[in-house]
Amino acid sequence: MEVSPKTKEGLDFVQEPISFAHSIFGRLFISSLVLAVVPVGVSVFLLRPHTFSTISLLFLFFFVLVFALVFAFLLSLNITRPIAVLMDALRRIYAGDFDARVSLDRKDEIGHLARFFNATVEQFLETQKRGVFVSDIKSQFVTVAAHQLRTPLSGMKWTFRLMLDGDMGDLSEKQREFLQQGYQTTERMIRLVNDFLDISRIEEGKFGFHFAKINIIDILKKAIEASRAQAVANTITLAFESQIQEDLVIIADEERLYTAMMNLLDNAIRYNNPNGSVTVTASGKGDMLEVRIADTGIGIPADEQQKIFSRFFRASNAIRRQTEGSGLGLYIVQNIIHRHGGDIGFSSQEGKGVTVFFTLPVKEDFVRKSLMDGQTALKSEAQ
Amino acid sequence: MKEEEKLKEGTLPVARVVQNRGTQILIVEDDKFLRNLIVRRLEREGFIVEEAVNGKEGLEAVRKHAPHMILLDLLLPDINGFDMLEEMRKDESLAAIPVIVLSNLGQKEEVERAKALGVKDFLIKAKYTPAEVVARMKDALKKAYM
Repeated sequence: MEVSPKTKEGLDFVQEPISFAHSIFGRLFISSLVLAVVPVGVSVFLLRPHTFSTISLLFLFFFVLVFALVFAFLLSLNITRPIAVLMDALRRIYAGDFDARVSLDRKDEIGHLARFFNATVEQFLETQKRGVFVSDIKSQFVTVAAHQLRTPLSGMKWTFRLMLDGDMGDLSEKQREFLQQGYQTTERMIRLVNDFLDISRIEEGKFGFHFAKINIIDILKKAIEASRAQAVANTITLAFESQIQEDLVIIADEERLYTAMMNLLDNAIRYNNPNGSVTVTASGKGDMLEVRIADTGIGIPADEQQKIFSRFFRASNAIRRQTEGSGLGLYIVQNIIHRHGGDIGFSSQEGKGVTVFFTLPVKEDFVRKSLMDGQTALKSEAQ
Repeated sequence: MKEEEKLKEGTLPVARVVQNRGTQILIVEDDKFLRNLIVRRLEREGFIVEEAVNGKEGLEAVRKHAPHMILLDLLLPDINGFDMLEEMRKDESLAAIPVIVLSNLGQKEEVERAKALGVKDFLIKAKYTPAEVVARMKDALKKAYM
């Protein structure tokens, strides 16, 4: 269910004043007025012209007015007071106090409403408790599933690795090539399992970040080197150009940024054309550091660009190409960049490639502010 | 810790540690395939390797052989890795043995829990190759015994 009660619209609606003509009291007043006026008016008309001087008419008028007022007020109390009680209880629930209950011991429709209200709140609490329980089970399941999947995957990875490293004897060029492909596929599978695990933790808000001072160029270079084998295997040239100082230190989560870069580089290589290139540039833009990853690949069709960061979305030309991908990478990258206080975007033309760019704040206080918002932990430097 | 200092001046001459001969490693891992891969790799490098398939066997092996280093999986059939670590901590001489966790669990809570129990390194099997594991292990050995 998408509607969250904590929307601004909900609050506005509740606080809108009800006009007199629409309120219960107002309507009762007007109807009491009519109720009083009509018979009085009719009798006055029938009994004219005898007794009624202006003063008596005025008295009569006031009498009718007061009568209508009091009558309407007393009648409406019977309805508006319990409504106020219900509103109060609802307001408390809206604010998160789920202990609110209504005690209106009446035998009429209002009494029914009150009892039903209480029953609904209990039901809601039940559902919530069940939701937490299910979420716990889901989280346990994901952990165990990830572990169970990783065990055979590491078995495969180690087998390939031992063979490729020559532990099982010499390999012919063809054998090496073939095994290398197997190894890469296994690596991709492992990344996929990690992605699933990350996604599930993001969903639960347990995707923790540990911020510390790190050298950003180091991380970019590390990710590029780690992707070199994959690039070579796909006949892609990888290049890195930096326009910022080598020792620039920013506050970031090293592991998460590395993951983000690996994801972006993986995309740039996989969705590229043969003999294409991937160029990473780092430059300073005011208080922010900007990193661009440009590839010469298949690009993203214009009508699908809006959805590219959503979960499980893969562009049609990527699917058509029969490359593998979970559609999770960019969703995770976006989450990481945003948590760092940066922004991410891209520009692309179908068939011409994609340039993804993201910014990261360089100034300390800027990052600290986003840390407050994101409830993340700052690892002490003394570590 | 006093025991750790004793390890450094220990019974093993430094030279032998460096050449890996005579260094005894205990591997506690329930998956047969992975265990064989790593044992094979270690033996090729000249280490003496003891194997255990669960926490109970692991504890027995530790008490019997007093290995120089333990490679420990966490999710094990009966007594798991964490419980085994806690048992070892109760005994001063066992607690000093350096341990490297080799597991496919990787969440921060688990890493932190292991580190709090004194492990020297936490390696995710799906992330590191056998060669890398052996390299990290050698680093840890150097640090603990030299």
